[in-house]
Amino acid sequence: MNKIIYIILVIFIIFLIYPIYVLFLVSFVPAIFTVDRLYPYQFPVALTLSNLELALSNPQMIHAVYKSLETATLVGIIAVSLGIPTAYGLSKLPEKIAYAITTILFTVNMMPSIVIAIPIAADFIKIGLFDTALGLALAQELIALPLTSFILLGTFQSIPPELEYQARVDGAGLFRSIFEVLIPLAREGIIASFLLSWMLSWDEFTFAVLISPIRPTLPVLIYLYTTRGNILEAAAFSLFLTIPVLILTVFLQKYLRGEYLGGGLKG
Amino acid sequence: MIKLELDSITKRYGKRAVINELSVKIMDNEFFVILGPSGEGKSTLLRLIAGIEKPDSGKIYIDGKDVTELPPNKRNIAMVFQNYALYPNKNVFENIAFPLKMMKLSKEEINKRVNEIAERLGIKEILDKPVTKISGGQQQRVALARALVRDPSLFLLDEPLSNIDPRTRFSAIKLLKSIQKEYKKTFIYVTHNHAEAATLADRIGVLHEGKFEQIGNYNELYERPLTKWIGEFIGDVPMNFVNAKVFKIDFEGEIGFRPEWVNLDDKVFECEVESSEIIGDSYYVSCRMETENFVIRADRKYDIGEKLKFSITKYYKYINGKLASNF
Repeated sequence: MNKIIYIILVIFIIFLIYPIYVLFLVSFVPAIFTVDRLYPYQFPVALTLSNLELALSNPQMIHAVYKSLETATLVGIIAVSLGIPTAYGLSKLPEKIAYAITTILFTVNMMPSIVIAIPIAADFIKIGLFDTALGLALAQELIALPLTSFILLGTFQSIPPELEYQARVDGAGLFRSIFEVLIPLAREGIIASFLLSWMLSWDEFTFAVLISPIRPTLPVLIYLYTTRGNILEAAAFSLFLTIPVLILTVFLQKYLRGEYLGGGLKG
Repeated sequence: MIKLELDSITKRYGKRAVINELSVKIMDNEFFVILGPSGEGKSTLLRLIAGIEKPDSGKIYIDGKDVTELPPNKRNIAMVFQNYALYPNKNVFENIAFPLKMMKLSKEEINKRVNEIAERLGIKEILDKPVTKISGGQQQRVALARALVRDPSLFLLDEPLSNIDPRTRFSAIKLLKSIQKEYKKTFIYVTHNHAEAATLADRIGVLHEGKFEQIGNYNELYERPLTKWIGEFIGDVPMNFVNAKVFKIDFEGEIGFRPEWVNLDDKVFECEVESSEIIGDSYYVSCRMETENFVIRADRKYDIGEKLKFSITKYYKYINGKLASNF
């Protein structure tokens, strides 16, 4: 019985890892053995760094990485700094009402991004936010903010209200009690929501292609290269897109716990 | 001198008035206990005094100053919550130092004061420990130290002893009482435990249906409850309330008497024993006489169906659950 489970698991993991493996193959194996062949080799028959050098010497790629980094970091910062007051306010409401409001926040996500992105792009041209990192970040907040508000709501609800009362009685004003007591206690939830919104922005495509098409972010650049047939460079770029996500996911696991999704009480 | 005055305060949750036009004056240096069963709004009352909740109407005065509109941090009060509410991200020292830090005292002054109070409460050895790594009794002392470390006008304690085991509880009560004497401060203490109230309180306010139904020392509450509800709530065994006619008393209402207010040698009445149990070192016998049931403290165990002869030595008359007149 155990053996079968392991076999299923191994198949499942291969299934998940295979695309990443292919990505590594295309990135580190000379093109003649991979994309230039009708039937590419499935094993690294030769290794090279020239694909990577090609990608790194491409100024477009450097610019795209920089833009993606800038946008994602902005999304993370804005999501956390707006998400904290939102979630704090919601956590003061009766639980049912708080979650009803959070659900309403998510309705923006129910609409296809493209439907929302086009009017935003049109308006951003008028106010000078078109093709900027800030503009793109603001648009991506539509997806990130409901998520961070939801996570942070759960985080704040898991903090016993007495701790805040105690801080107030001990002489802290509203802001001091939030900064001295609540935010340190919500640290894990705050880090988790920052990382999640950062990653959300990092590989976001629809808003990016419509709002920032001239100096694109990395996912858009990869798309452009792929459609032009530059699969080799696209694969190398993809590597740059994937690696941070892999690292952050490992980080994120440390901070992703059930408790701030459930809102349970802890002593 | 009046330390705290509540002037007809009301607090509603939805339509229900948890605190209903409650008024009370609490004196300087008094140990005042708010007593009542769970769900009677004891904690709400304490939170109103602390400023965590706002009353829907009425005024709160501390040291003669109207504080009704002031936030908790402007009221100069200290509070110990039932779960102690120790800041889990800070160690014992930082927890105790927190109120001083909010007062913007110098580092030396904070150090000095924290060490003093820690010594007094016997927690000096654990000052650098995280609060999550100390025992329940120690947590309770840390919470107490954090309240005592500054010089507030009022101490509010919300069932601070309900989370510790009975053995430490006894020493904690002793500690509390001696601290109150030593620091000469006004304590307002919430509990549902009438034994705790009896030991600690100068005066007890019994909270029922949003009001203090009776305020007095434990003896007054026990000996002469103003209402039937208090008579049944105060004491290990509830007070008996039976139809006066049964005891040949010419009175339209009930008489109330404690199980020990009987004389078993004076064989005036006779009742039939329905059950008997031991509480502490006494036998309590549940007895039936005509239509009425009541409990009598007896000298020995009685069998079911046995006849018990007794007379009542003391009783009060009650009409509609309220004390009507004296003996």
